Amino acid sequence: MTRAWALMFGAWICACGGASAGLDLHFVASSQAWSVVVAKVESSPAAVEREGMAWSITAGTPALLLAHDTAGAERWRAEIAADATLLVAGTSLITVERDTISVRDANTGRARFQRSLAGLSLLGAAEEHDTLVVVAVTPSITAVDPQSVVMALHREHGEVQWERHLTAAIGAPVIRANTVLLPWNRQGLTAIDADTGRELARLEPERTSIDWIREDPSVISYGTDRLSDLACTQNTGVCTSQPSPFVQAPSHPALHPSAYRAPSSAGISTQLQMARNAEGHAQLAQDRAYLIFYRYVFAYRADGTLVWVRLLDHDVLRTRATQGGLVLLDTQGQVTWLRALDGHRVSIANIAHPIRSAQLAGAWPDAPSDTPSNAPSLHEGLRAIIVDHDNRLVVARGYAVEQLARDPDPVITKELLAAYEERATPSGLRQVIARALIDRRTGSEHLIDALARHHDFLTGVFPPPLPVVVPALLAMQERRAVPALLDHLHDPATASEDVARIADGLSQLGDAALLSELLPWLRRYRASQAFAGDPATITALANAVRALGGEESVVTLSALADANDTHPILAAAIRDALGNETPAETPVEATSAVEAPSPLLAKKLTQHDINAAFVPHIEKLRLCTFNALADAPLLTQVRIAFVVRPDGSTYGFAIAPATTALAKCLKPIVDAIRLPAFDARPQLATYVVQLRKTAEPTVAAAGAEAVAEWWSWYARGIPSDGVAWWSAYVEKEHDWVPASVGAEADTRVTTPSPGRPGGTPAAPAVEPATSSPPSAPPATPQSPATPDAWWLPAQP
Amino acid sequence: MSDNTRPGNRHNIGRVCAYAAPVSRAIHCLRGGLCWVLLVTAPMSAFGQAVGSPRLQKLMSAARSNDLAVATTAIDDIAKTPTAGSVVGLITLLSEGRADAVTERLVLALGTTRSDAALNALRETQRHRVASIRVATLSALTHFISRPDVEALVAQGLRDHDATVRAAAARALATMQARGQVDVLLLAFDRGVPEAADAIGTLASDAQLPAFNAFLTRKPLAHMLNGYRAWLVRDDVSETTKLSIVATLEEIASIAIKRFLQSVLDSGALANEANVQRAVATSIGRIRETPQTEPAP
Repeated sequence: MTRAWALMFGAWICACGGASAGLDLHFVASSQAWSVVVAKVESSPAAVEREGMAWSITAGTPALLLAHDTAGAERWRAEIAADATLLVAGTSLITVERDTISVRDANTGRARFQRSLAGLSLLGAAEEHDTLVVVAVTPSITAVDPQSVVMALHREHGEVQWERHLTAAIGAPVIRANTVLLPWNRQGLTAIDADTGRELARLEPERTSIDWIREDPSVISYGTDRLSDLACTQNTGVCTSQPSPFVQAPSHPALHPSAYRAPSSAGISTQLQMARNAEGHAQLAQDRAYLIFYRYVFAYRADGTLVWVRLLDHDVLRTRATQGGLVLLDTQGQVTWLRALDGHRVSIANIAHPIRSAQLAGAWPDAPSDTPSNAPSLHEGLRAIIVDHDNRLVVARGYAVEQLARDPDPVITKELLAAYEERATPSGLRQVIARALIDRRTGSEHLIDALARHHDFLTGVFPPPLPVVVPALLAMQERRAVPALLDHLHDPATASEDVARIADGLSQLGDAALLSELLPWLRRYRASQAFAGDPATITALANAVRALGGEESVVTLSALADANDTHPILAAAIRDALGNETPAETPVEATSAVEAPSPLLAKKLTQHDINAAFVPHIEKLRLCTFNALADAPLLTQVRIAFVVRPDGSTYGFAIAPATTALAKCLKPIVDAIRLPAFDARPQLATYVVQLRKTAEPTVAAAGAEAVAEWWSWYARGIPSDGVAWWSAYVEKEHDWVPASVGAEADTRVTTPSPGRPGGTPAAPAVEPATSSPPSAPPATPQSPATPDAWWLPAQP
Repeated sequence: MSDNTRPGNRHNIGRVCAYAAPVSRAIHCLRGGLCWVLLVTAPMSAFGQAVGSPRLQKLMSAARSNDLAVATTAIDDIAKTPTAGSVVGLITLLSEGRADAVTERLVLALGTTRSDAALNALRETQRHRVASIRVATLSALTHFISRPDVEALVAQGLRDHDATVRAAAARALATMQARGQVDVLLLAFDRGVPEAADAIGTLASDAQLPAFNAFLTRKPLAHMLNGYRAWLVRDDVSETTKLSIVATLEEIASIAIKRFLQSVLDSGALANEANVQRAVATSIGRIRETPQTEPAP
């Protein structure tokens, strides 16, 4: 059968797959033997689901193993080692202490048998009738040569019915109709006769791997990041698989825990239950899948839409999806049920012990579906998570911010701003909120209202976060904010960088009338020493004046820059705003002291000239900045300022940050620099070593200047805020070959950096870069094996 | 705040603008703000016409010097003859933008003129971004005595984000004898302006002593003692209040208290108050020099 034919044929005969539309198709290479196995498994009724129970190991010493029913009544208890773990398979409760398993009757606690796993660790187990199938593997999942064992034991006395020792990875099994379905090597499923251990058939999907297999009362499914119905593989053809509803969820959880790893008891997990609809299609029960993120529960539809969220009191240890909802057992022993529809919460039982490890199994009853809901709305639930003070869960709280920010309701803007300003909000979450606020297009009135707040020491009132509010208002083109922004421009409590931000905002939102506010401001501070260390603020104001004032402002700004008592650094900052523009009619006082220009020399040095002068000193500069980074890992830039005499020599060296060590390192470099002679008064020059991504690159985007500052090029390419450029570079070493830069880009920093785990601050080496494409991932090592081993891929 | 100093007051604007020649241009730009704001929008050269006499023009020229000594001397000379022209001249120099040291001198000089025009200019410099200039402004405002509106303006300095400005505001209120600002000083002390204690001790009434005493266990003793010292040396505080202070301090009975009381006694400030002097001496005698409980060997 050709594949094309199979595709067409499959479309006719394979009435399987979920109800979700637009799902990918994958071709299943089936065989007659496999069809027989699936037919047998699918036609066999699932065992009646056992009575729901919770087994838990208490925290503290001595540890107790407790068994409770769904009403919260204790069924039995036993002492157990504090580090033991639990696994439930049918009627068997398996406790693991080191490499020994102890099997008990899960209902009564009666001990059945013990068995050593000979150094292996228990991965999974499944039980049917009297057979208990156990899978154990080498403890390290990264073992190069994985050793595994699958064995069938008598569930009462542990007698070995058969066992197979493998040099391959195998996963937790499912058993039904006397057939063990076992994932292996992530390549496929094998069906094994539970009585003999003989392989019956195997399934090897061609376009996907198999990371897990699960059994629900009416559906057996398998997959990796997509879910497939085992029933569909009965016939040769095309099956659909359902995508994970957790694709957009925080921390990108797996659709299902891997069968190749021992299940963890706490933290982040997912939960779902599959059921068949009236047409026989496998689908999520109640169209819900759950992400449990420590104390948060997120409920999704199959299409990934977030439906509701709940904030719980304690970390969840174990969950179990039911037809109508989700049962949770938390670290304090509280058993809770959440209704699938809306998250309505019902307290089921209280084990009354702090719990370290637990298992839930069997059929847990659903609470009445018609009970009035006590669940918060999605909006309220998200807000509760955002303002929750559990800073372990910043990722999920950031996700809640993103979800909440999708709502165009203007009041969300107010709430996000309040969450941003909350003192306990961690910086990582603030960044997410800031992005969300800047992306919003509604609720500007709340941002303007917030601008009415100014710092007041006595009342403890603080201004709103201008680095967020100003860009957000700019994005909204909110001209009503101009008066409030002006107030903050004049407020001495406004930080200098915010003044620059406001000036930029005013230039975009305001008009020429603002010149009566901006020009006096610029004039007042043009000679102030206080701004000499931060000339960018003056440049920003001058830029705003230039933008709003048209051609006439060139004259005004030139006069300010040329006034004899304007601070030289600030005069240069004002000239930066003018660029190459010169006033059409230069004021007399501005030109009186200027001699006639020489036709042979440039009138002033360009940034290109300054950058070029630094090129021979790049290596030394880099060493200096690296040493500075070792002392201050969060350093964002190093700014060097000096005055250039007309003959090209320099004086008046200043740096920021002004540390002695950095000054000692950089000063000889600057002293050694000789710039081209020019024909004008001494000129202020600045050279910035940008170490991090900035909102607005300080260096021209392309051309010779960008080439000269090769590390600035890297800095602008950092993919995320706050990541040092070397880290980003190391991570993406092969992706960062600049296409637009020339030979200078062929020098690369290849030494990892200070701040890396285990690393020590060290000056990086510079070596020629390679422009080869990203290397291919290493080939998966193939284990030598005997040709008839069933865990090897089948030969075509 | 009285009407004649409120920003934007038309009467006040007219008065200031009368000093300035290039009014027409300035008023053309007026958007409801102060005339001072408008003046700075005019070209610098235009102000030469506003400041009258050749001597003043010469002084202003010197005040624009890059030589700090020359500039400050010229500013002081301008301020020595507080005419309308000299006030406008100082405001003009201020509005042109000067180095911070020169600006501070201009601000102090404006204060000495005590004119409404200067007051309006000082209202602006109280929002200057340089803290030392705001401090100088508060110092300049102390020249405006018996002006509740100015006292309220100075009290605004207690809200400043810079500690040096808050301290200067507290001191300025004490200098101005701004008794109407004791409540805000108490709030400031509570919020962490230690200099407010001294000002409270200088300004507060007898009835306000309990409010100050309430800080006794919550604030550093050194700060409290500054306030009590100011209280004890005043002539306008009743003997009862002073005796109450001494009794309150004796309850603490620490070596620091003993030394504090001794220093008050030695200062001679209580020379005319025999009962208080006696109470202080008695307290000093009662307070043991060594700690009450010696650590076990």
